Formats: sequence, C-alpha cells, structure tokens
Amino acid sequence: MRNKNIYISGTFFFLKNLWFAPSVNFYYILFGIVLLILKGGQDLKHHDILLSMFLLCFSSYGMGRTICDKSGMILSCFRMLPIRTEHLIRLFALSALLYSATIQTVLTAVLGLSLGLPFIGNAHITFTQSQDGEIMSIASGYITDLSGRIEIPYHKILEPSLFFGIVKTPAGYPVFPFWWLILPVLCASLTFYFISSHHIAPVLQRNNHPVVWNFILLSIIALLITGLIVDSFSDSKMVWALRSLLDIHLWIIPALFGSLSLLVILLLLYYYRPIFRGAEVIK
Amino acid sequence: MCQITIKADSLKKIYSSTKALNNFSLEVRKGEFVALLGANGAGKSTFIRIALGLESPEAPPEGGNSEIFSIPSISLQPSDLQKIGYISSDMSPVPWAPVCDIADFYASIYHKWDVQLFENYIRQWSLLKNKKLKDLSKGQRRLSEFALVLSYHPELLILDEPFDGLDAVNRINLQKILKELQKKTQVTILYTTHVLEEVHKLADRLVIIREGKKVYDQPLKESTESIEVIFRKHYGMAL
Repeated sequence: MRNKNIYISGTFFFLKNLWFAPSVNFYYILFGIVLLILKGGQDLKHHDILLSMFLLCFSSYGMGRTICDKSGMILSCFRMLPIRTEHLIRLFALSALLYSATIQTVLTAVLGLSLGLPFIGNAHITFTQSQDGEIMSIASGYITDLSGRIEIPYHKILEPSLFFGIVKTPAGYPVFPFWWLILPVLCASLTFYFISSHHIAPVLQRNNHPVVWNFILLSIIALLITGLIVDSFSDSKMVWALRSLLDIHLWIIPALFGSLSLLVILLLLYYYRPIFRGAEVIK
Repeated sequence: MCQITIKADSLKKIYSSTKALNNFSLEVRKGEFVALLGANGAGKSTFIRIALGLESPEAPPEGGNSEIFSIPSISLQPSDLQKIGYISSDMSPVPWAPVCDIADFYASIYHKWDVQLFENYIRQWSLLKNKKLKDLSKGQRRLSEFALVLSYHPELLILDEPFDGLDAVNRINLQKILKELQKKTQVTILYTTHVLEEVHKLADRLVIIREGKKVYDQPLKESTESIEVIFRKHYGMAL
C-alpha cells in the first residue's frame, strides 16, 4: 500500500510540476482524496508527519510561476524593471512564502499529513547565476515526496553559506538569506503538527468511513477558503503591497503573513470542531 | 556630434544550426525613429533581445558587442533601465495584476512616473484599469502596455511588433502619438515590423534584415523607391 501511495504521489507531483500554474491546486484536491480513500486513516506514523512537516518548511511554491520561465530564467518583463535583482527576489520570494504557508500547510496537513501519508510540500527555489555572476533567478527546484527523491536541479540551495545568507555576488549584493522563507512556515507547520497529532489523528485512527467523508468535506471547504484568500492576495494585491519591501524591514512581511496563515488554519479548525466530535460519536 | 543611443557591432547569434544574427551591425542616433523590417525569423527580435541584454550573443570575440547609452547591454543598471521602454509581442508586464496595480508599482520604481499622463491615456483609450492584463482583449492589453511604458517618459523606446492585435483606429491613434512624442521629446524609437505600409508613416530610417544580415540601411527621405520595391529587391522577390 505504501509503495502504491508513493507511486501515486510521484505521479501527481510530476503532473503538478509540469503544470506549473495556480490550477495545480486541483492536483492537491485529487491527490488528497485519492490518498484519503486509499489509507482511510490507518497506519498513522508520527515520524511520517514530523518528517513531512520538516520538509514542508522548505516549501515555497509560487515563485516559479511568478518571476521565472520553465528554464529558470527571470522573465523579460521583470528583467527590464529598474530594480535590482536582489530586490526582485525578495519581493516575490515573500509572496511565494504566503502562498506556501497557507496552501501547503493547510492542504498537506489536513489532507495528507494527519493520515501519515508520504505527502509533503515542494519547493520551487533555486538560484541560478548570470554570466557576470549576478543572481538571476529562483525557480524550478523541488524537494518532494518521501520516496527518497530529493532533487535540487541547479545548485547551492542548501549550501550552508547560502543558507545563512552570507554569500555575496561578485557585484557585492548579499544573496537572499534562504532561512527567511522557513521561519513562518516552520511555526505554522509545528503548530499544525501538534493539533493534527493530538486531535485529528486519534479520531481518524478510531473511525474510518464517516471521518474520511467528513475530512473530505473539511478539506474542500478549507481549500476553497484558503484558496480564495491566498489567490486573491498572491495574484495581485499582496504582491504589489509587497513593493513596500523596498523601503521597510524585511522581517515584517513574513511575520505578518506567517501569522495570518496560522490564524486562518486555527480558525478553520475551531469552526469545524463539530465535525470531529460528530465522528467520534458515530463509532 | 550626434549621440549614439544604440550601437551594435558585428553581432552573431546561432540557434542550433541557424544563424539568427550574422555580423549584424547597427547604430541608432538619439531622436531617430528607426524601423527594422524583416520577414518572420529574420532576426529582428533576436537583435532587440541582445541589444537589451536579455540574451547574449555568441561568446566573445566572435559574438560582437552591443551597447545602449554607451553601456554594454549586458551591464545595464537599474538607472539605465529607467530610461528604456520595451514593448514586445511576447511579453507583458505581470499579466496577473490589474493595470492600476501595475501603475502603482511602476510609480514606486520609475522616478519619472507621470500619473496624470497615465490617467490621460486610460481615459483616451477607454482602458479598463481595474482588470488584470491577462483578462483584457489583445488590443486593450497592448494599449495598457503602451500607457504604462509611455507614462514614465523613457528616452529610448524599443518596440517589437508593437501594433499587433490593434484595430485600425487604435493603430492610427497610437502611431500618431508616437510620431508626436518623437518630435516633441526627441525620444529615440526603434521598432520592428513586417508591415510595409506603416513604415513610411512613422520611421525616419529603414533597416532591412534578412537571415540575420543587414541588407539595407537608408534614411527614408533619401529613398526614391517605395518601401515595397526596396523590400522586394532585398528579399529577392519579383517586382
């Protein structure tokens, strides 16, 4: 069963990465539903959740579709803007963070992780360099499922010096410190890990069908709500609001949107508590 | 002495086995309106992308050099990009954002952003500024791109088949605006096209490119032949 899930996981991620667009979220729905039906709340493994949550921290979807083409080059329209590449990367990296923090935390956690499935986030973060050594793009890399495949197609994404943001380009600009992307997602992920392992998972282990269907319902509602919120932000308003990044301290934005993401997740859980209670009674 | 805005010297670019540019050289002086004419695949867009530093020519020294404002294209800085407006058939600035949001964004990054001028264009062309670029018709989208680019008063306009998708009315209006702009502000304009009819209305100088090579380069007022005749001659077509 586990191997089967891994194949399915791989297939869906493959399709998703090919698609490379917002509609990729539909794969999450399909994927989540298929996995829910296959696993039905059995064989919950906490280390799966923990590992998945950890890897989720590296997640940052959205950047690729936002500023780069499929080969990882920054789109011409952005390269013609009179702002430094470094600012551009920050601008969109952080918009991707919001996307990642909400969509991926909610979907992976609600649909997959609480069931102990080999299903984790992905990361579209890669640094490539132009001929003169300036950072040109972040895109197209991904860290994916638990089948052991961890691919970093270009280079350096996890190189310690880059990770801690002490690398400078030949032009003297510091490379974007990668950990900026991780902190808010880590907070949201860990919180959700505790919630799911203490509240959702035990319920799922005790109850099969009713909870599965309730969970599907919850997942779809969560998806719709967060999808609406995140898409409306990430498509335009939020991205452009982030232009102020050029003037203000960087930490405010991830902190703000990390908190927002967490709030959305917690609110969803709070309002849908009756579903889980109902499920417990059914047994 | 005339200032040179764009200078390309012996550019070479090869895609697979096809020579997109073959020793292509061109100088565009400040205030000139140059039309780069050629068939599809002649190398017009490749030249523009190399001139703007969006692509590299072949490795030096064979690949040649290109400069804008006397700065190597590959080294253009944000301060130089402030002065360049680029509109291309395959490029829209941030298509997922509403036009008004892009305008706000441009206002924050372009020093010479002219909000009044932008609003004038919006009114004049009846543009839907609250709609996302990707949701607009091709014509509306192209006009929005023009409104955005012209509103930061670029000193150099590089237009890659800029009138594609526009209806006759907007095409004529826009051509008139560009011509007036050139006269009034001495903006340098380089534009590519494969439509012969519009060239004589707009350009001061005609450059014809064929298979990556410059085959014709003359001021239009010095030419005694029609553009169609010139084009046919240089493309080896029967007259």
